[in-house]
Amino acid sequence: MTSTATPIPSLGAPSSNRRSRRSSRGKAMLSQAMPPTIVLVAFIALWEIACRAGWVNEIIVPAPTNVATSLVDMLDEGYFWDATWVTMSETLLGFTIGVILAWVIGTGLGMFAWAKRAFYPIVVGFQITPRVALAPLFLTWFGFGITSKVVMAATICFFPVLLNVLVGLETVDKNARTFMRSLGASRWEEYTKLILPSSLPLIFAGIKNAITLALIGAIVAEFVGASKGMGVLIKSLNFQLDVAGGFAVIVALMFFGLILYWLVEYIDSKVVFWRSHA
Amino acid sequence: MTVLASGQQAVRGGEGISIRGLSKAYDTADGGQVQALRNVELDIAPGEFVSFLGPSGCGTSTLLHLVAGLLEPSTGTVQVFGKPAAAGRKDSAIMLQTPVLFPWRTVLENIMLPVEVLKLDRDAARERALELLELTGLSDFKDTNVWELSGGMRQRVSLARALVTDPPLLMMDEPFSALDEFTRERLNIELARLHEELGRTSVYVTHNISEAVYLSDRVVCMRPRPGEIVDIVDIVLPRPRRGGHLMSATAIEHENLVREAIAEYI
Repeated sequence: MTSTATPIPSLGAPSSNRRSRRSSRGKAMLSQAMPPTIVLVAFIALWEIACRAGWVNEIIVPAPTNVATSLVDMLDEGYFWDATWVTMSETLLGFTIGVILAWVIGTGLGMFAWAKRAFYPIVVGFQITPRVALAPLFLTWFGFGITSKVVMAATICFFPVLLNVLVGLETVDKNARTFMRSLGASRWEEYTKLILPSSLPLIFAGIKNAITLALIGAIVAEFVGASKGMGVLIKSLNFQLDVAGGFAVIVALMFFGLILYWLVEYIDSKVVFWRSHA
Repeated sequence: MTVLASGQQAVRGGEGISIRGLSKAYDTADGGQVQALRNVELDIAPGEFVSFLGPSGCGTSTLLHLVAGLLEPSTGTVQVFGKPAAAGRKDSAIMLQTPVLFPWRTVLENIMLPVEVLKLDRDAARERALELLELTGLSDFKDTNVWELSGGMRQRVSLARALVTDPPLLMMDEPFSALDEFTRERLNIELARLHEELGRTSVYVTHNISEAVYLSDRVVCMRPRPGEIVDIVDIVLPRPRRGGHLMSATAIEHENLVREAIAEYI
């Protein structure tokens, strides 16, 4: 038998021409990236002109070129990389702890109807509460070190993931459950072979949300009280009226935040590869 | 001889399905009860193809779920091959109205799912799975993602998955009702052929009269509220059944018999 697909004509076969699909997708991506790029470039150009022309005070709003110079200078400095390392560690540690706890607790609650009924309203309540308000409390409890930031980051990403885990467990197809039951599947088999994969698309949607939240949590906690980190750096640079430096750290934060997000999104696309087809 | 013929050996002779005094009542939300099935008595011989036919709400699906052990009877008993009906038996398989394929598994992995859950020999089952793919015309799609398949192909995969454990009893709950007329007819012709080749006991739930007549040895006609058997029509069409039988005069005669049996309850 040949390896090329010989589909049954009347039933409609999946298209096998992958290459043409990919190149057209490349074109689509390019045409999608075009408008935001134009807007961004125009915005930065306008900002630069505004500064050069003296429409705004350079001390308060530094020109993009100044921000860029500050950033390039900073990349050579040890303190910048120290701060980056601290903030990224806080973010990733908090993210990991928050996601794992939310996943485990969410699964535990979701598998028992009574537990879910009892905790669901409380979870929603916490979800609505602005959790960054807890930052000063965590500072008192866990001190100026990394712990209070990790706890803040974990707390802030815990609830959205928990909520998505609970909702994800609900989205399991009834017929699929009946089918698993007809095979006499144990609860564990039902979970691993059906419920867990069924809920992965929603869980990962929560996790993608969580990585950006974790970074916010870490920075806010640093603002409230810390000795190291990018939040501390922004505060002290502003304090020294080095606004360009402050902006440079924000740009760096944006950059690192994007990398983290893309990383999670990449993992998502590998784990939940069926997302757009489910 | 292929490994696929083994199911036939397993069912010849022995006991079939025996349903005695079977009733099923459901509790309703307002605290009342609804009688889904009342006093069903039925015997199905090994290797026989039997359809449960009737308008919606006449308990055909409930009856199938009771045979599959997915529901507990309110009264009465269901014996399948001499043992009480139960879920998770290795000697039966069910096909539902929707194909229930898992998008995180390829076609072949979906077909192998019952083998994993029932803890059967994987190597032997894989052989069978490949043979079934061949038989259902899906050989070239074994590593395909299920979302790339058409509705008809998905139900073929579902059928192959039901047959992978070589079950002496195959239960089907309106398996082709969501498909378009052409695909449904084509799959029915294939199902009849498979039944004749593999010769297992088959129970088929449908609302479609010509489908029931074409496939079955006997059609069990049911009425709604409460679900009861009103008539059992023997289908004396010759086997093997071919596409031509769908339109033959004898088939249409049988369809009329069935229609008459349930006419007053529609």
